Amino acid sequence: MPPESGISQSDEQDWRSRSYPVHEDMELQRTTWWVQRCGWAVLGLLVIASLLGLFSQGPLSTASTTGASGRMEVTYDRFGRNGASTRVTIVVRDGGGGETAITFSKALMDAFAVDTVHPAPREERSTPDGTEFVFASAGGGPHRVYFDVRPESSGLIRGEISLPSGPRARLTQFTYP
Amino acid sequence: MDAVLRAVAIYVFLLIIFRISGRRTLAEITTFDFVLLLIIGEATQQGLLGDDFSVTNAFIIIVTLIFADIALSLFKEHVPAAGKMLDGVPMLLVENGAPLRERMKKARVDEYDIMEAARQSQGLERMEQIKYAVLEVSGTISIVPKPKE
Repeated sequence: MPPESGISQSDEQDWRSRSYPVHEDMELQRTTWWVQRCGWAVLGLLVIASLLGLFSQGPLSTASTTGASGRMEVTYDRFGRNGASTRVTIVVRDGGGGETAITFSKALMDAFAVDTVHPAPREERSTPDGTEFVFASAGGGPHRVYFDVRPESSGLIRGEISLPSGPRARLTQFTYP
Repeated sequence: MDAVLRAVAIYVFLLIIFRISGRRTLAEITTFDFVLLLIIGEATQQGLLGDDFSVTNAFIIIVTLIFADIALSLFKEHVPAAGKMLDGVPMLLVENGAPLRERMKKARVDEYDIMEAARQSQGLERMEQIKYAVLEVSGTISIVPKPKE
């Protein structure tokens, strides 16, 4: 209900519903105004939330997790949008022996379409765990791999990314429609 | 199925957004408002079509939107209260030459807007010549002049 309570004499005149020349409904009109003002506040909050990344791409959305006992760090978007490309960055410390193998679990591969991978994998293999991407690596330093993936459904996506040894990195993304 | 859901979602969303923004915001259209509408149309289009640019998809979406519009108008006819809520009701802004200021403030209309409407539609010069000024459901201000002495 409209919050105005302390109305003066002239205001009473204003808020009275006339029936001539038009049929007014000031009760409804004032409720409408009140709802509209609440609506404006909601719109403002939505803008702020979007800036912060509640709908992907922002501080609230950026998430990271580790796997393989800290040898792998995965950075991804906590919130995604159906059909919009999102980036998964994987940093592997000590790839080991000229190649780095990263496995995306079946659940991830089902939910995401992999658009591009940088650097391009030397090989892609199907394994019982999912899909394994094998990258040639040089030097001992941390290796960085960028996956641009596109969610193909809405809702909660849970999946795992793993190296050949060590515990898996688990990631959860909520995908908006 | 996806196309129908998209179209319905966009329809409902736009309905709510335009109701929230209030009738004065986009009804009295300026050049800038017009450009804004075009941009809103562009932004909507992407969400509506998705990545399916087939003629069938366009047909489905158009049919769904038109059907939703017809269904809503039928619903408003059968449930007048809902119609009033969705469309709003007309409201007096000036009564016998006296502006109702609280209402004008709330409706985001000022005396200049009313006098502009009075000049354009009736060729009136002063507030006292107005018998009634009504903010219509469409967002326009209609003027009933006082009978000439």
